Amino acid sequence: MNPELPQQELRRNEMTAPEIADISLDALLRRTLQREDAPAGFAERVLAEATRRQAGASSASASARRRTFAMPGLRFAAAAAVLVAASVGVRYHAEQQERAQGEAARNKVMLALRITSNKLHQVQMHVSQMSTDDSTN
Amino acid sequence: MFHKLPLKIATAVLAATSIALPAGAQDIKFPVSLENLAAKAKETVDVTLDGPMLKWASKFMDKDKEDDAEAKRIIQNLKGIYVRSYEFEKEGEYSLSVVEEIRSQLQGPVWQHMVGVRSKKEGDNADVYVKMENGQVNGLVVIAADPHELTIVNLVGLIDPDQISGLSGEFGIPKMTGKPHAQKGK
Repeated sequence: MNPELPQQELRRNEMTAPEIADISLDALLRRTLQREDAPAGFAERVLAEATRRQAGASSASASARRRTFAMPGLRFAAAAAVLVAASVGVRYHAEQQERAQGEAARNKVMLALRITSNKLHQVQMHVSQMSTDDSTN
Repeated sequence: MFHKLPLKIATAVLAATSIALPAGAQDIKFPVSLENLAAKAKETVDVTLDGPMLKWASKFMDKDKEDDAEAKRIIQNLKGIYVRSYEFEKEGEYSLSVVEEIRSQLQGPVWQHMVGVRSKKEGDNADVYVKMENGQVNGLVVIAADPHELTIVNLVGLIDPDQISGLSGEFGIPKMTGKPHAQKGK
């Protein structure tokens, strides 16, 4: 027996083949599943990268918006559309108000003429009644 | 101090305008005692329509409706319509002095007392005055006073005499028959 061989090798010589395989697998597993610490500064690098990507995305959309509204024609069209919508709304409201006032004035005229008509009719009835009374007396 | 001057001038102009405007179109001035009756009345009708308002109102009249078409025809030459009508719960809630105040304004040469009705039995009083200018009827005042109701109507402007009699046949009111008798009293 070689005295230079390590103790494990000595033992391997004494073990059966499956036992040897078990030992190797165990060692392999232990090495594979061994906890390893992250390299120094890994968390900082991950956070920095995430922040960089987020900033990149928002600045891209902002610059896209800027590019869109930097087009003079489009800016003018948007302003014109807002103005047209506002003026249509104001005009519609004014027309509704005018119509309501006109209808109210019309109703007042009709009421006034109805009262006048009614009173003139009453006067006529009185006069007719008096005429009848005069002719019978 | 100076900055208050324009405000004072504006106030004076506004005050002058507000006083002058009602007298401008109206033939008669409704006395304050008449306007105050609104506080006592069960029902009040207060119509004040000047020329521009009448023109405006006529735009909203439907020519296919009989009453609207007739009203449009009547108001086309009018400069104003003024109506005050008060209905009272009980008798004697207004003084006849109010009516006298109005009648006193209709004494001028242009005013003709067309019809006067005095009914002692029912207590009804009614007067119709027309304003004659250049041979044309240029205004109409109707005063109808009964124990529970007082109504004053003033139509200002050119009125076709046929329209006056025709008025009683319009707006759901039966048409007059015969001609009214002037200055008839009882």
